[in-house]
Amino acid sequence: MASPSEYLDALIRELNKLPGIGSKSAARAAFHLLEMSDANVKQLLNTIIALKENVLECSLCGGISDTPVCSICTDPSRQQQTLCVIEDKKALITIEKTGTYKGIYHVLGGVISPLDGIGPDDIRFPQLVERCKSESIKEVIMATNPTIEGDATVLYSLKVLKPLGIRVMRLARGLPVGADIDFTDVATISKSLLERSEVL
Amino acid sequence: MHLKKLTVKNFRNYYNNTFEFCNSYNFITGANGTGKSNILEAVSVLSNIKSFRNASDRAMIKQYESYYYINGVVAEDTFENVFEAAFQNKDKIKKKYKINNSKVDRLIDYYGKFITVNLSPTDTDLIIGEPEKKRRYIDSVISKIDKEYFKKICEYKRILNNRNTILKSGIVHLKNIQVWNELLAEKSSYIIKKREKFLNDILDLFANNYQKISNENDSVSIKYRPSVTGETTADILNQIENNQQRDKRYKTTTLGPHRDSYSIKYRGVDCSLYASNGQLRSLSIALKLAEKNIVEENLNKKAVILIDDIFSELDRLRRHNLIRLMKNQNQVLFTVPTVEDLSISDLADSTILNLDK
Repeated sequence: MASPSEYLDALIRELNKLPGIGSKSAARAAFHLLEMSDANVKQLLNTIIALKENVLECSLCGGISDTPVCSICTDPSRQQQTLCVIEDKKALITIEKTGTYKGIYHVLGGVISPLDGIGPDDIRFPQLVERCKSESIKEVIMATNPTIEGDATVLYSLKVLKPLGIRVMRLARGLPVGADIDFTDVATISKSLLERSEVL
Repeated sequence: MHLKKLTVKNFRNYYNNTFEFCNSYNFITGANGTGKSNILEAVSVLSNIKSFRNASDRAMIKQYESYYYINGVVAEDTFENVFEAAFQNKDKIKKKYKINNSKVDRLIDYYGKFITVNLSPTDTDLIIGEPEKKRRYIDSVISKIDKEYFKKICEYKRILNNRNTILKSGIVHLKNIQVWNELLAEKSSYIIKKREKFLNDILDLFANNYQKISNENDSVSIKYRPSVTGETTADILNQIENNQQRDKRYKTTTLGPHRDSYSIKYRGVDCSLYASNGQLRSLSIALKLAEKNIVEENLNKKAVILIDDIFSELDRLRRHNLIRLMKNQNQVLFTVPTVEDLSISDLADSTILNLDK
């Protein structure tokens, strides 16, 4: 399997460690890098190094930021009373893309999962409670994934945050936009029926 | 539906063999150790993913080989489906299922497509065996006719594992455990209702089948024994919460559908106390045939019946009744040492597959 170049093999091994990159994709990218001009390769390297050196974790929401507090948390046009709670930093970008959410965020960095040894104190849950106490938050939208552990996290938040007088919501579940009922599983359809909404 | 052709490679004692079966009775005969039951086992793996003998996939691979492969051509009304199951134990462990040459990714999409009901010597466990075996049995049957149930059982197990992990750690925060109590209660309520309904549905069929096999009018009944009861999720949650101190002491969840069972009564008395071997055999056959009835009714297909060497405990009358009960109904694959042992007069339109040659 080894190629005539140890350097190439080493690069393939490194690229292979990235998510979604199998050995074939890694080899393809490695050969491409070999063909690229020195200037372009240097630019790529510098970009990666700059990313690692400059991107911080926002001290408020835990999302990515180039400054100690991120641009969303400091944006005065954002509604400070609504807080959207998400599992990881990437989910923030996904929700931002919709352009429909005008509140602020809180990144948990995981969900409660005793099987993996993760309790509420192992994720940014204490910080969430702290924010709910110290900031003017009225509504928390739990946007964790609809898994068993995601649901457990929602229930736990409800238990802790509701006594603080905070309205705890979670994302609606049901048919994806553009879906076909015939190809949707029974669980999703029954959720859609339960959480049906009035046509306005 | 009926199995027309079965090909097995590196499975148990078979290297590469193909067997053909007729639409009605097929007798697989041969001396002990010739591989009669192995053929039924291959069919059960193809149909139910698991061996009815509860053997591991590795154990079913022929000695010194690294994989097994099973292929079955199943005829249904006017068309044929090809089912394939393969297991590989080399470098990486791989298990693969295909229907008509296309790979099936989720077992849930495969399970219940080729339906078989198997009657084997270990079935008496379903009458007087451990609760775990009984639970696994009803779960497997309900899952066959209700995919949603299958999913809920998986979710339940996951919740249970999470809750038990917290209990095992010894550090149980009230709010933390409450979350898992609620999730557990919600799934429990669903599972209990489904099991209750299933055992109710099966009750009459079971009693009826028993009478047909034994010619007795004695009453037999099957009753669900849930470890938590309650009409609503709130009722169940209440019981789980009341039991929490005990759970903490034992460091595991001591109440819930994972502790359920059912009991079978014969003449109003629990079978584990008085029934004879022959009676237990008849009861287990009646239960399996009730399973067949209910699966066929729900899936609107005929099951293939696999009968593994259960005649030795039955008297002549009961053997006769059993064979008559399935005649012209289903395709049946029997294993017997010799056909003469059966003392069946009418063997017309049956196929005999002799492994002694």
